[in-house]
Parts: sequence; structure tokens; C-alpha cells
Amino acid sequence: MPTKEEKIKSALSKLMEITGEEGAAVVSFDGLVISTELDPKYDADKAAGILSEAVRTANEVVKTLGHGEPEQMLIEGTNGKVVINRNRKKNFFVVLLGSPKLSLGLARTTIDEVLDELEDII
Amino acid sequence: MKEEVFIFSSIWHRNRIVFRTDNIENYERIFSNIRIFIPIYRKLIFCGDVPKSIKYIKGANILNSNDLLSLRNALSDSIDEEEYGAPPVQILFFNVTETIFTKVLRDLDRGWIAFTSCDASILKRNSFHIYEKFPIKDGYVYLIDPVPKDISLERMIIENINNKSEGIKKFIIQMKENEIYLAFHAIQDELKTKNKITFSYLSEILNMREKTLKKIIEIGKRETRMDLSPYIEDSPKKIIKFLKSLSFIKEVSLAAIFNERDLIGYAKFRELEFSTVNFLRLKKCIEDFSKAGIDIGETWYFSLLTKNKDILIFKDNYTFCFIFEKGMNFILIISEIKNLMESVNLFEEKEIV
Repeated sequence: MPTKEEKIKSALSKLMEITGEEGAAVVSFDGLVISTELDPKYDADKAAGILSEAVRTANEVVKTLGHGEPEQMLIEGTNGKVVINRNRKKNFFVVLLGSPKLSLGLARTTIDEVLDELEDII
Repeated sequence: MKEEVFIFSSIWHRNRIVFRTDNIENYERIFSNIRIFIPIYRKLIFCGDVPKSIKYIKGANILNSNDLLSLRNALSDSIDEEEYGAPPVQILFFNVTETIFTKVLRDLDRGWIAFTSCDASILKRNSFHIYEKFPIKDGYVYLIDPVPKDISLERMIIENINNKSEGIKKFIIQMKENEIYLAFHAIQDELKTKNKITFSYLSEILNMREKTLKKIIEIGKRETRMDLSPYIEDSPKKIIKFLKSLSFIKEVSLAAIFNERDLIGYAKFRELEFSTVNFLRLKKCIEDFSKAGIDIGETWYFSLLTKNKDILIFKDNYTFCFIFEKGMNFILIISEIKNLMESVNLFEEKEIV
């Protein structure tokens, strides 16, 4: 019987199959790492803190607009890409980091699937 | 309609106006027709043969003297005091003779309306240039100062009040005049606390179009002799062109363009309560990614998708921020915006403002 941690890692591994990925992580809304598959070049704790700050800010900004909560955040830069999806029910988010080669379309759909899977585990 | 707009705009800008009529009994009627255009915050100063009914109106200040030099000095002092914060004055001089034009009004460069039986030749003899002349019932109007270049706001107000009751007319005109007056003083105050201020910034915080802001500066200058325009930066021409072209994309609700932290372009296409400072907060978060070794590069797109609206921030030489209505394919909108940016060469080096 796989442990909770193994189940989370298994879900995250789906993201690791996407070309151009550089790691993924599950982070609680308050910035604590739940699970990480990030490339060692990243400081996972620091990244989790900074990313959760971005999610919180996005949440506040969208609230001022009066239109619910953010569903997805995508960042596409000259050197890299970031996809963040939040699960509101369980208050965590999944982040996928990638190189410019990362296909955002595939990343978005896969991250949606992973998020659904994680909702049952976490 | 055109004449009414000219009179309204001239009074609002404190231009000098002469109403010529041969019968002094017409003064009262003419005054009551134009009174609606005189901002209520102005101090009214009546001179000359003031009709009885006008003498007793609320807030009337009567200033008369047989010594025309003293009278001129007193009126001149009242206008000068505006520079030190006194409310702007509006002089209404009744039954003005040639001597009064020569000895009193010729030296006052703004803020007076004369009621006279003198004709245009007398005005010309006194070095007054007549920029506009048109007939009214029982007389003529001579505009001694040029009609302001942009009178679209005045035209719009006159069109709006057409066929309305006197009360509604007064409400609409006075509300706008007071709004402009208060906005000028608000801008003055804001300038005391900020090193740099842009029209886009004012447009957002005062919820006014740039055109209206220019009107505020212009009227404020006429009322206080204080020219605020050198202290407020215009948006670069390319940015204005780009913002105008955005109106063709129906999904765009709001666009804001920053040069570092300065808002240099702002356009709101739908009613929306949203402070552009929020864009800067999001931008800061993205820039902080590098602190954790997440290198996305100097140029990036950030999109935040929500249920009904999407937010897009594009960081390049400037930071372009947008709010879109959900509807059209997001990728298509981005590509349309990119095309517009390219068409006005926004990716080239920054324009010097």
C-alpha cells in the first residue's frame, strides 16, 4: 500500500514527463512544501515561499476585481516558464517550472489532472 | 447652439466679453441668461449702473467709485489676490461707457463682462481685438479673447442640457464647473507630495479623461495664474496611439502602461473599480522569482485567468497591463495586442517623454 507521500510523488511524476519541465512542487497556501520534484538548482523552501506569496497576491488582486479567485497563473519568459494552479478546496497549489521548450498547452491540461488527483490524496 | 457654447466657454475661461445693447433694460435679461454659466465659487463684483434686481442677489458685491483710477486699482487688486488663494472674481460691469473701457477695463486682462451701448468701433479704438462677434436678441456679443481651442466639453454640456428645465441646467453646469475647480486644487495638492506626476496617473485617480484634465489645467491657469502643465508629464505619443488602437479589441476593459513605477498610459474601456497599483504588486511578485533561482528572463508574459476576467501583464521595455473580459480566445487577444504593439513600434527604444 503506497504512502500518502508516494501517492503525491506519483501524481507529480506525470508532470515530469512533459518536455522542457524543470521540476514541480506541491505547496500549501501558506508557503510550506508538501512535496517537491524540483531540480536541485532551485532552493525548494525559498521557491515555495516566493511562489505562495505570488498566489496570495493574485488572490487578493482578483478579489478587488470582484470576480472570485484566480484559476490559473502562467508566466512565459525568455528564459523559462511557470504554471501555477491552485486547489481552493484543500488550499494548496501545484507549480510546474520549465525551460522555454515547455509546451504550455500540455502543461496546463496535465496540471489540471494532477490537481484533481491530489485533491483526493491531500 | 454654437453661440451659446462660445459664451459658456468664454465665461468659464474668464475671458472678456462685451454684451452690447441699446436699451439698458435688456441688461437684466441678458444677465439672467448668462448667470447659469458663472461658477458659483466665483466672487461676483458688480459695478456701474447695476439693475436693482441684480443688486440684491445673494453674495453680490457692489463696487463703485467716481474715481475711476481707484476703481480700476480695486478691481485689479481683487484679481491679483487670486494668486494668494482668494476665490476667483467675476466682474460684471453695467452700462460701460467709453471712458470706463479706457480707464478701467482696458487694463484688466481677464474676468470681466461688460454691458454697454458702445459699438465695436469704440472697442477697437481702445485696443480691444474682437475675436468673435454675433447677434443676440436686442444686441450683439463681442468676445475680446479668443475662444478656447478645445470646447468639446462645453459643447457636450450644452447639448446635454438642451430642453431641460432651468434647475437641471444649473445643476449640470455648476456640478461640472465645481468638479473641475476641486480637481485643480486636488492636483495642486498632489504635486506638493510627489516629485513626478503623469496625466495617466491623474486620469486614474480622478477618474477623468486626459482631455478633461487638460481643461482643468487651462481653467485653473485662468483662475489662479498658476500653470501646472510643466509639472505634469504627457504620455509618449506611441503609447497614446497604442491605447487608442486598443479600443478596437472589444474584450479589453482596462489598459495601463508603466515606465518602471510611473503610470504613463491609462485607458478604461468599461466601468471597473481597479487600482493599477495591483499590477505593480503582481509584477513585483514575478520579479521576486529570481530570488529563488527561478530565472524567467527580462521579458515575460504573466497571465492570470479567473472566472469572468483575465489579467495580462507583459514586461518588456515598458510594463503593459490589461484586464480582459472572458470571451474571445486569450491567445488570440494576446496575438492581436502584440500586432498592435508592433504596428506602433512599441518594442523600439523608449521614447523620451
